[in-house]
Amino acid sequence: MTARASSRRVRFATPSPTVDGLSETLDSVAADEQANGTLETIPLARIVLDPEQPRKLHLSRENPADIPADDPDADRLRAELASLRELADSIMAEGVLEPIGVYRHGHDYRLVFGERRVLASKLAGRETILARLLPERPRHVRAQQLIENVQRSDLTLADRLRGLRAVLMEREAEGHALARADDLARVVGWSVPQAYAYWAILHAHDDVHRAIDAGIVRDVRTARSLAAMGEADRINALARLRMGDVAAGSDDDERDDGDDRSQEEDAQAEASDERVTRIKQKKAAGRPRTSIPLGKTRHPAVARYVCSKLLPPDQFAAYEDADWSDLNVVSEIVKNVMSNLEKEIVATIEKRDRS
Amino acid sequence: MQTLVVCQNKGGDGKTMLSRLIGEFAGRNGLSTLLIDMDPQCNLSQRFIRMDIDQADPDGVMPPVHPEFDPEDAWDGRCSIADIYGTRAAEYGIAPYETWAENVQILPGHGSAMRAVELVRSSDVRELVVERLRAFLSDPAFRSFGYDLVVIDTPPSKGPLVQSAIRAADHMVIPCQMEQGSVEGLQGMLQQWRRENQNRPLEQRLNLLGILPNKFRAVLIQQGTLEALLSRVAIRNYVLPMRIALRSVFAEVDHPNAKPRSVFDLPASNPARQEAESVCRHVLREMRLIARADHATADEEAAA
Repeated sequence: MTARASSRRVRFATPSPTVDGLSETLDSVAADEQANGTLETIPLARIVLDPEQPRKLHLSRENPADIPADDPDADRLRAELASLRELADSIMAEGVLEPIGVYRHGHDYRLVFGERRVLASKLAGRETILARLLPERPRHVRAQQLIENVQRSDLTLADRLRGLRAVLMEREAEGHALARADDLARVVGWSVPQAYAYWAILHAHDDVHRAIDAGIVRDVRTARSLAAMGEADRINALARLRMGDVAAGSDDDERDDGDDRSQEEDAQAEASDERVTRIKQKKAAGRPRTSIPLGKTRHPAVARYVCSKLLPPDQFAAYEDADWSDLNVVSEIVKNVMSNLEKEIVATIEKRDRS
Repeated sequence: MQTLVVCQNKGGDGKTMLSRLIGEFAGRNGLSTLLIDMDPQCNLSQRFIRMDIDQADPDGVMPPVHPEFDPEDAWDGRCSIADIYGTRAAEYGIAPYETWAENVQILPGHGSAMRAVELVRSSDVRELVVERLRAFLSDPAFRSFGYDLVVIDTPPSKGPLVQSAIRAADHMVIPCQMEQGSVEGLQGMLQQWRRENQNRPLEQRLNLLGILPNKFRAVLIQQGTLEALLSRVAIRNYVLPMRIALRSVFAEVDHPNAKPRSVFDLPASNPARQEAESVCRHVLREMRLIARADHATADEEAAA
């Protein structure tokens, strides 16, 4: 009888799945605070906007309503202010419903997300704001900001690229440089095709970036096409775009130009981009290739064999007496051979094109 | 003013009894106390005031005509907590009822009206129900009543009325029988507590005073269940260090002809009174409504 009673006792005292669940719930309460930070009401005056945040509201941070009349961007600023005023009205009526995100930085708080809510609260005459106080500067803060911001329709291509570059630099600084477009897709939560498009644009020639920053190229599709073009085509296209910028409206023609590429061509370009990006991965700041390395070998015999095959026997005979065991000498020979071969082939192609 | 919500998803675990005990005890300790009955069944209301019969209502009761009622008024003379969820509070004001207990007033429930509250469109629930009680309790007009303590008794559910009570509270206590069904009910309450705090600033956290093992019996299933809860570090911190046993005297004081009417009027040696005092004292101390270093009263010494 005693034995039976005690075994029942043990059975009832063994935590059931319900008890395990309760335990998990209460454990996660502690984890909530670790992971998500705590909510605090903090003074707006102590919030420092992040200087590297991808989204750039150009309004004055101290007094958003102050727009200089002579500002060349006055129209854009006024539009920003109008949309901020709407938010300010709702803040006056209901307060800020979603907390902003900050982390401590010295005596101030650095903003992670919620720039518009901060400025709108200032407009609404508030002195404090509800904030999620993160325990430290979150890892991948750039990626978070980008994810928060990239959906915004009023973000320009240049803004997005600025944010993306910040993400790449951040990951590199953290020792996890992004090597491929697929990594980018994973980090910022984009579809793979979208990530490939941006990846290609990021690695486009500097003149494409200058055109984007200058507002000559404004859409992903055009930028993507430019990034995939050869040097001559690109220079030509950019020149037309610049002219189009003067004569308003021809930007659309250029976009059509990009659209004219067939689906197959797009797919091919994408596939080749993929190969290129998979191969050259050392530096994020890359340019389109201007030459093709023909590989390396440690064995002079291989170089000698290649040269003997490339050159007619009489020309190869000229190198017969060289020191084929000296790597420097052999390198020079290979360089000469390749250089002559290139001149010869290019001359042949040009001759053929002219005729 | 401090606000305490007594909640448990499972029915019959002693929410109303605990609300009642804490209210009576606080009043006896000189705290001006308001009880709010959010349960459409209106049991708490019936413990403290004589409710009128409402033939039209399945629960059968409604608040009585208020002593301050003036037939010249536009007001129909009845006031319940349901009034704050509609336009009645704005039109007629709010008039808590005096009770037989010292320093204790009550805003009673009203079955049909309370159930109607939960019938608002789901898109309106947040604004019209969930936020409503908190707004009411922080209104300067309400603050002018000068209560020290508000105790909210809730229906056994997780619906909008309970959410409303949780949103309005500073502290939370969960009575729970040490049985499987009741322990299962804890999960929903703890989730609500957690979700509530995810949306509150640190300085306004909803403080979970703990889980009170209630209607406790010295049988293996109850002892084992309590042991299982205490075996988990995460839960242990939230189980109150005292318990209330299942005793018929708690049912007896609910009867209209009961003598005495209050557990606290039983002899100081009565174990039911001692348990009730120990729990209520703990709760009010945790809420900093009575001093922690309170020198022991004669009753306490006798109990010790």
